[in-house]
Amino acid sequence: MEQREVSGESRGLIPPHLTLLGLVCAMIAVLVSSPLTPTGISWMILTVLLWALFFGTGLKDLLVFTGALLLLFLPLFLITWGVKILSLQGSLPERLWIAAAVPASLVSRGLMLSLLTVTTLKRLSEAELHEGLCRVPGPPVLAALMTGIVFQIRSLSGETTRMMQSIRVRGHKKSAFYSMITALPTVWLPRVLFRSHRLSDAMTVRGLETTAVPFQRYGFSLRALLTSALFLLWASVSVVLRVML
Amino acid sequence: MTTPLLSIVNLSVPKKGRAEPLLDKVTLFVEKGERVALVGLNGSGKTTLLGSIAGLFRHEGEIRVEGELLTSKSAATIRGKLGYLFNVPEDQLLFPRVLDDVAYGLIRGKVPLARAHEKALEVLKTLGIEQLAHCTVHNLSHGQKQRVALAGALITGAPLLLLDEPSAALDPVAKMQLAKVLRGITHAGILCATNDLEFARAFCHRYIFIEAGKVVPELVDEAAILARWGLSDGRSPV
Ligand SMILES: Nc1ncnc2c1ncn2[C@@H]1O[C@H](COP(=O)(O)OP(=O)(O)OP(=O)(O)O)[C@@H](O)[C@H]1O
Ligand SMILES: [Mg+2]
Repeated sequence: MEQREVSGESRGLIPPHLTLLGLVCAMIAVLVSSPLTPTGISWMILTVLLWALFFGTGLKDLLVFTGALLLLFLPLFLITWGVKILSLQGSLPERLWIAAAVPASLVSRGLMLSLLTVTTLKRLSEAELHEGLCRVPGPPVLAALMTGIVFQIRSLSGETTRMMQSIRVRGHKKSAFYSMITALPTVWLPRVLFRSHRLSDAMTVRGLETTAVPFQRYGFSLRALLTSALFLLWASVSVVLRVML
Repeated sequence: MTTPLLSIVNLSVPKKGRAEPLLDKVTLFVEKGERVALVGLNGSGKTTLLGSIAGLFRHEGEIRVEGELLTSKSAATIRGKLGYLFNVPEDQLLFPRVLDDVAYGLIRGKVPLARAHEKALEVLKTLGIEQLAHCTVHNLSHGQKQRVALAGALITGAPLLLLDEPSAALDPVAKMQLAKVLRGITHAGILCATNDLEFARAFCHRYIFIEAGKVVPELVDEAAILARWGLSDGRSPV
C-alpha cells in the first residue's frame, strides 16, 4: 500500500498548522471583500485562484468543484431571491434586479469560502490535517475535541459509503442516493449514534480525553516564516482595500 | 495466597427494563501469565463481560485488577493496566496514520515520540504488518485494521489483555501468527473472547464457558463445549 501521493506547491513548504493559518487568512480576505463591487469580486476570485495555485489544484478540479458547489447553492439563492422579490415594491424588472443583490453576495461568499476549504482538504492528507489541527495552540482538551471532530467526520463518511453500498447491493430500484435520503432517519441515524457511542467508549478506554498528542518538532525555516508573513499580509491588504474603497 | 491478576466475584450487569440481566453472578479469576479463552455463543455476554472490566457498564459485584477494586474513581487507573481489543476494530483506531495509532499507548505513558515510534514499528513487525506503518488507517482492509488495533493493544505491555474476538477477521496465516505472538506473552494475563476453538487451542491454557450471561463452571474442555453445542462429531463450530 502506498501513502497518498505527495504533490502540490504547498507540500513540504510549511508545516500543516501554518497551512491552516493560510486558510484562515484567505477566508478573511474573502469575508472582508465586498462581493458587489468589481474590485471586491476580483479580489475574492484572485484569492481563490492564488490559493488553488499554492496547492497545485488543477483547473479541471477547480471547475468541477465550482460547478458542484453552484448546484448546492442554487436552491438557497432562488429561495432568498424569491422572498426578497415578494417583499419589495416597484416595477417587476427593477424588483428582480434589486432583490438579487443580497442572495448574490451570500452565494458568492459561500462559494469562495467552500472553494478554499475544498481545495485545502483535497490536498492535505488526513494525517497532516490532524497534525495541523492539534498544533493550533490551545489546551489539550481542545485538540482532543478537534481530533474527535475529524474522526467523526471521517467515520461518518465511511459509514455512509458502506450503507450506500449495502443499499445498492441489496437491490433498491431507485438510485442509491435517493434511498439513502429516505432511509436516513430510520437506518442511518441509529447506526451513527451507536457508532459514536462505541467510539467514545474506545476513547475512554484508551484515555484520549486526558492525553495531549505530541508531534515531531519543526526546525526554524525561513520559507515557512516568509509564507506565513505573506498570508498575514494578504489578509491585511484585503482589510485595507475594503476600508479605502 | 497471592492476589489474582483479575478477580471477578458475583458480577451482574442489569439490562435496562428487563428482568433477566446481561451477566448473572459471574465469578472468575485470571492469574498472571495465564491465557484464558472466554467461549460462548453469540449474545451470551462475552463482549459485555470484557466491557465491564474496563468499566464501560454499570455493574453489581466486584471486579479487581491487581487487587484494585473497580469503581468510578479507580476506572482510569484500571484502564491504564489494560490492553483492550474492541470487537469492531475501526471503533478503536483514533488516529489517521497507523504508526501514530499504535504508538499512542506509549505516548499516553509519556514515552518520547521517537522512542514510541520505534517501539510501534517493532510491534507491527511481530504482527507481520510493518509495511502498513505509514498507511492511512481508514483505507485498510478489515483484517489489517484488526491487526493494527491489536498492535495498539499490545504495545504498552499491559498486565491484563482483554481481547474481543481477535481472530475474527484474520486469514489463517495471520491467525496462527497471532496465536504464536500471544503464546510468547508471559508477563501478562490474557482473557480472550472467541468461538474459534482451533485458535484458542493454539495459545490458551484453559476455557471459561459462558451461556446466557452465566459461567458454566463444569464446562472446561473443548470436547465438553462441543458436546454442549451438539457438535461433538468433531466438526468445529467455526
Ligand atoms: N447496549 C446494549 N443494550 C442492551 N442490550 C445489549 C446491549 N449490548 C448488548 N446487549 C445484549 O446483551 C447480550 C450479550 O451481548 P454481548 O455483546 O455481550 O454478546 P457476545 O457474547 O459478545 O456475542 P457475540 O459472540 O455475538 O459477540 C445480547 O443479548 C445483546 O442483545
Ligand atoms: Mg461480542
